[in-house]
Amino acid sequence: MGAYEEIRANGVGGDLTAELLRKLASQVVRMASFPPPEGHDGWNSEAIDDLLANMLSQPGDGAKFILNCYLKAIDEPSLERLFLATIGNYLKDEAKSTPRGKLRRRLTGLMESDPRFVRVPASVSGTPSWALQGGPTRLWQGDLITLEKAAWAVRGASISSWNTSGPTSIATRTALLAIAHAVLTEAAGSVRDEDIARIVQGRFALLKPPLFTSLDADDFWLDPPAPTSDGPAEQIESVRRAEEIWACLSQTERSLLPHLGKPPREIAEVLEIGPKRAAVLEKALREKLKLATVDDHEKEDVVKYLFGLCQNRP
Amino acid sequence: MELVPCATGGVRDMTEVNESAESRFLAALKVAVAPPSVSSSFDAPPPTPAPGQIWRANWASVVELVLIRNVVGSNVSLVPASLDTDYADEATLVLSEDETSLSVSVAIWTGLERTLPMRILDRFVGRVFSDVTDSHWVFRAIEAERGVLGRLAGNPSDPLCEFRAIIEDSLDELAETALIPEGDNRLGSLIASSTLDMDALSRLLSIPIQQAFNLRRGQSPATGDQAELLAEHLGISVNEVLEANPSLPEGLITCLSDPHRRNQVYQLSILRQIPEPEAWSAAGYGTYALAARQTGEVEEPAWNERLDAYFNGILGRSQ
Repeated sequence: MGAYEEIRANGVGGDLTAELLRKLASQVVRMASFPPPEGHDGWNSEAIDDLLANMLSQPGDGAKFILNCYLKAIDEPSLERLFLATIGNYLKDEAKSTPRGKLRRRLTGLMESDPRFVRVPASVSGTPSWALQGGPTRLWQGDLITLEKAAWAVRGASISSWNTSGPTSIATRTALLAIAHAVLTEAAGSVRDEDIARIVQGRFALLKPPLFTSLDADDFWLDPPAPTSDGPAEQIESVRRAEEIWACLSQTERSLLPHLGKPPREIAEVLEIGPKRAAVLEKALREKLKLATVDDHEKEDVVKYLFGLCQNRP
Repeated sequence: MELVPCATGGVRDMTEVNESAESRFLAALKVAVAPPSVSSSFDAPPPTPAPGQIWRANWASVVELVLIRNVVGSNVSLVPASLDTDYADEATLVLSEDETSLSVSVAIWTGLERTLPMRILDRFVGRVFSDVTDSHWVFRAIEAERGVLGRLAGNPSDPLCEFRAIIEDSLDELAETALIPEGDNRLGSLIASSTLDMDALSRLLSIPIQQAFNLRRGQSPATGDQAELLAEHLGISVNEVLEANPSLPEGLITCLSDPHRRNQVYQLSILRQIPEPEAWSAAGYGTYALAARQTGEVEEPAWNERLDAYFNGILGRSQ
C-alpha cells in the first residue's frame, strides 16, 4: 500500500502520505536553490516539516490540496507528480514573496522621491493612492484590465535581477517608474496603492503561481539566475543587453528561442508539451523580446547575439 | 519568546518553529480531508450522466475535472473545471464554495465547452447547484452573486494564457485518444489478398471454419486477440487490422460508453495488462464479433446483455 491507496481509502493523508511528501519535498529543494524557511540554516528534516506545515496551513489552499490529489491522482506516480507540482509552486510563491514585498517597498520609496507623482491621502480618495502631479485625483473606478494593458504597453522595461541588495539599480528604477507613470496616465486620476502594486507585479511576472499546475513562467523561480554584473566598461552595449535578456529567460524559453516562428506542432515536439501551450509560449516569448528590444537602436545585434547564446550555452 | 523576521514582513515565534514543525505538519495533514460527500460519490456506483454533474474525465492518462452541460446519445457536452481558481480567464465562472458539493471554490471554464464521447467519464465527483442547461446560466449565477468571472489576460505573456492552453491541450488529447477507429471494412480483402486460405485462417486464430469464413467475407470483425495474430501474419500493426474491421454499431458504442461499464473496462485492462483505451476497443470488437457469430446481421442485438456475457466470460462473475 502506498500514499495513493491511503488517500483513496480514507480521503485524508496518513503516515504513508506524510512520508511521501517529506521525500518529494527533499527532492524538490535539492534540485533547486530555494532558501529554507525562516529560522532554519539549511534543509534539514525540521525545515522540510516546517515547509509542508506552512504549505498545508494556507487558508483554503490546504483543503484543496488533498481534494485535488484525491480527485485527480489515478495511481501512485500521478499522485507523486501532483505532490511535486504543488510543493514546487508553493516554493516558487515563497521565492516570489521576497521580491514582491521588496517591489512594494521600493515602488513607494521611488514614487515618493519622484516629483512626477503625488500622494493622495485616504481622507481625499477613501484609500491611500497615487496620482500624477497636477493631475486629477478622482479615484479610478474602472476595470483594472484597462490599467494592466497600459502597463504592458510600456516597451523596453525589464527587470533581470531581484536579488541584489542595496540601492535599486537605474534600470529597475526606470522600469518601475515607467510602469507606474503609464498606469496613472491611463487612469487620469488616482489609483490605489494595492492596485498599482498588483499591476506592476503582473507586469514583471511576480504573481502567485497556480496551486497544482506548473507554468513555464514560474520555472524561472526554480533557480533564479545570479544578478548580471555590469561587466567590463569596454563590453559592447548590444552584448550586454543580450546577456541581460538571456538572464531573464526560463530554461524552456532558452530552448524555444531557436524555434521561434515554427508551427506550434513542431515546437510542441521539441519541448514535449501540447501544441496549444507551445503556441502560447512562442507568442509570449516573441512579445517578451519585442518588449525588451523595441526601443533599442542596436536591436538586430542584440537579437543576433541572443540567438548565438542558444548555441553557445545550450 | 524569540522572534525572527518573515519574508512577508511580519515576525515569527522561533519556539513555534523549533518545537512543533513535525506536529504542525502532521496536524495540518490530518485536517486536510476530502469532503465526505465527495468520497462517498467517488466510490459508489456512478449515476447516469446528467447535466450539472461534475465528473473526473480520464482517458489514456489524461485527467481533467469536467462539468456536464448536456448529454446527447453517447456524447456529453462538457466544460472543464479546476480547483485552481486564481487563473480563471474572463469567460470562466468561479463558483463559490457553497455552489457545488465539493465545498471549495471551483473554476468552470465555460469558454472551453466541447462535446466529447461519454466513455472518457471515469468517476462521479459531485454536482453544481445551478441549472446549467439554461443557456444564460453563467449570467444568472453572476447576477445572483453565486460566482464571478475571472480576468482578461493583460498580454500574450500573461501566465493565464499558458494555464488555459494546458487545459485546452488536455481536452484536445482527450478528444483525439477517445476517437474510435472508423472501421473501413477492408478486413475481408486484406485476408483475401494474403496467403491465408480458410483452413490456415481457422488454424491461425483457433476458430471454426464458419467463423473464418465470416471474417474473410468481412461479415464479422476481428477481436483484439485475433487482430494481434493477424497483424503479425500480415506484417501490419494491430491498429491497422482493427481499423479494417466493420465499424462498431452505434448501439454497442452507446452501451459500452456508459460509465457503469468503466470499471469492467478497467478490470480488463489490468487482466490483460493493456491501456484502458485498448481494453475498451477489445471489449467492443470482442462483443461485436461474438454477436455477429450468434445472430448474423439480421437484427440489432441486445448490446447490454452481450456486454454482460462478454465481461462475465472474461472477468468472471466476481467482478
